[in-house]
Amino acid sequence: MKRIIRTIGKIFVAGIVAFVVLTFFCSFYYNTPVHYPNPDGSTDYVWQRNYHYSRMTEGIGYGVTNNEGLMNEFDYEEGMKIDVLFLGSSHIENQFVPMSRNCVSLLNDMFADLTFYNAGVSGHNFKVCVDNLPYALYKYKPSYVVIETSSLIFDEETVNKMIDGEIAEIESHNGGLLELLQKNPFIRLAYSQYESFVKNQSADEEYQATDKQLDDKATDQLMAYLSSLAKVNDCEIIILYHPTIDTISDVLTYRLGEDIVSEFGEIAKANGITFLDMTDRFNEEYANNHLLPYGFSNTAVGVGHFNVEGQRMIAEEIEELLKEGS
Amino acid sequence: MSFVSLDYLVFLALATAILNICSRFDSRNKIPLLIINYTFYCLWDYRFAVLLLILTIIVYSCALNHKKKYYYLAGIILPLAVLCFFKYFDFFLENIGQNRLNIIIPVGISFYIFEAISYVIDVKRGLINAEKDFLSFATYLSFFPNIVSGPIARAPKLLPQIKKGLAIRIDNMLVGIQIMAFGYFKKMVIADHLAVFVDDVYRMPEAFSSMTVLLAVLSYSILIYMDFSGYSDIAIGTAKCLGIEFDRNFNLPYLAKSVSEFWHRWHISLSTWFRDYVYIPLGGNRLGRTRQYLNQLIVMTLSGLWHGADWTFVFWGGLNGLLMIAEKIIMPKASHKAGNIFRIILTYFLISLTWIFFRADSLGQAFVILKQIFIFEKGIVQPYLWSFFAFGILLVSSLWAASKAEDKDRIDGFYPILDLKTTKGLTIFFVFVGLIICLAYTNANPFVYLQF
Repeated sequence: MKRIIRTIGKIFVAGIVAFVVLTFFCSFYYNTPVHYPNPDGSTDYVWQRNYHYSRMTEGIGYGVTNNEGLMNEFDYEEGMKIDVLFLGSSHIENQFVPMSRNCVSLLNDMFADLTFYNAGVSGHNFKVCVDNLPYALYKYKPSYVVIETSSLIFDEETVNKMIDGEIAEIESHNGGLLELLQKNPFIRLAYSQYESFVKNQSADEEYQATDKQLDDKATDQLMAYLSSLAKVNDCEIIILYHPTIDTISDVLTYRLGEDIVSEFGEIAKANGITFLDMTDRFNEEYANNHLLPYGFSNTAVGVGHFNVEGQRMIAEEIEELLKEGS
Repeated sequence: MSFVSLDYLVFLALATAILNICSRFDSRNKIPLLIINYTFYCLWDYRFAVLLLILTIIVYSCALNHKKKYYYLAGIILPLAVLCFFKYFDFFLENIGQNRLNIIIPVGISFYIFEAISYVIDVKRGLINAEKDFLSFATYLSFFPNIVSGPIARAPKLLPQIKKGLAIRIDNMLVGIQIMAFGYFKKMVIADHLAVFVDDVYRMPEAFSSMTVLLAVLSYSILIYMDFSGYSDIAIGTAKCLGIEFDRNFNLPYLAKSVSEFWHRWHISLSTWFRDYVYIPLGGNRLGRTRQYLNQLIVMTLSGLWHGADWTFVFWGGLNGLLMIAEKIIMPKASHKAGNIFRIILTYFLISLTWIFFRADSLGQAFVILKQIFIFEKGIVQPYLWSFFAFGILLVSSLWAASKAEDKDRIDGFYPILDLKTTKGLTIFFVFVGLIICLAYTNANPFVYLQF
């Protein structure tokens, strides 16, 4: 009996010490904040405020969330003048490069007289962003809104849901034991690894097969809605489209066909929405410099989120666009 | 059921528990282990369990009657014919311009057929008596830890252990799970991450810069080592949990000072199989230098063909044979330290270049990769961090092994087994397992050697 108790004691002590060591390791390797529902509705959720995060599982990213729990190098104060508001998914939020190299931070460095604000949050694809847009415009009152997307095909039902604000909200599993567990970086990473191992990583939600066609009517309805929002709020909406790379060889090919992209651009333009297509820039950088906007030195090539080059390309394209506009 | 799955861990836990309970009643009863072996094989592919059983009956009968020439020959030729049909018939048809039949290769066939053939020959040579107990022999041939991808266990070593009965003891399990953990680290943390990069480069070599292609080629050498030795570690660790000892299958191959030495350290169970059952019967080095070179070339080409029915494997095997001959002719024997280090590096690079033919989808692609390395072309630059991590791990473990070696000319690998009865040992082990969980690549990547 004594021997059994001693053995259990050893396992317990070793388990605790190992847990502390692994938590310390993960606080550098994979330390993401917990997220909470955003009561103002400009995003579905925000991260823990003023949180030092770092992650090295995809790229190497680190930074501190601001007082709103968003990925900005400065705090937001009530009534603050935001010139350009960025909405979008994890591509724009970008926990995968140092915060200072995020496209929003780069733009803030490029334009001393303008304030760029990053309200990009993981999982906030185009549908979610449009769903939240009225609240974001009401809160930040920006002159420009950049909405990032890699998808352009939306059916009528989805468009109606966006317009009616009925897109399902991304839940935050905060509160109680679940929040406590999420606050430990080792537990969080272990769970994420387990989930991914079991599911074998499910397909990207944003993936759209190239054989799908643009629904002109629904797209027009969507653009008209965005246009009306822009007018009411006295701002300009920019849709930032970045194509997902399909194959890499002598040239890059993308998941969505050129005809779909140009058709979408035409409809947007007809409704007074600026459509910024990154395709040409990506092609140019690849042809001239062999640079790809996606992927990191610790992941597959050309796949995943924007790397520092992708962030730079976007910042430079937005810079050019704003300079042309002014 | 892959070794890298939660299903396998559950299977192993259940199998160990059942075998432990059964062995308390009758430790020499083979039926529980035999059922578990076949269950494991059926979970891979139940269709070929019948084939395994038929082969077992044939080989068992032939070995019992090995004194009759036709039985002895049948014991070798029939398994070989089965292997040739399943593995090489499509290749043959393709090369004579016929349509492939798309024959499905039974899992582990290359491994258990080699075990079967060696058993018949060993019986004939008098190294082991023909097994009279069919259950013991069937259990040996279907032993689940090594049936899918080896190591190829010889009957004189494994069969007596199986006959003696399993020794499922806590001491064995504490060692076994550590060996398995090394295997999981090699496979899931290193090999699977490297596969992401290597697959990218091999899919579109022309898109990458020369340095990146070279890095991918060097990474593949680590990948295949970590993948296959990782698999072997899991198999060896599993067997150890059941109280069965396997010989090591890899012995720090990239510390070899020549290509010949590399093959003494790489996939040892296969290399020694070819040595004992092909090279020596062909005359080995007893019939003059020219004949020795020819024998080496034949053995290495056959070894290439064993790996897969494709000209890339034949070329790869032949190339290794030529390198072994070339180094015997031109390579001076280095005795000083700097010379040895130079030879280790040179051997590593040569072996890495030969792996190009092993990994490439076709000979054409292999030559494109070679060309891409040597023409210093511009392209995508990918300084893949996991490659540097893998090189670091390999370097540290090699230096550690070197520091432990008594004879500096002969560095052997070892498992740094911890005493899990102490708090310190347990803590280090828990941290190690935790790191595997944190760093593992979680997308499915099958073991490279499963295809063989």
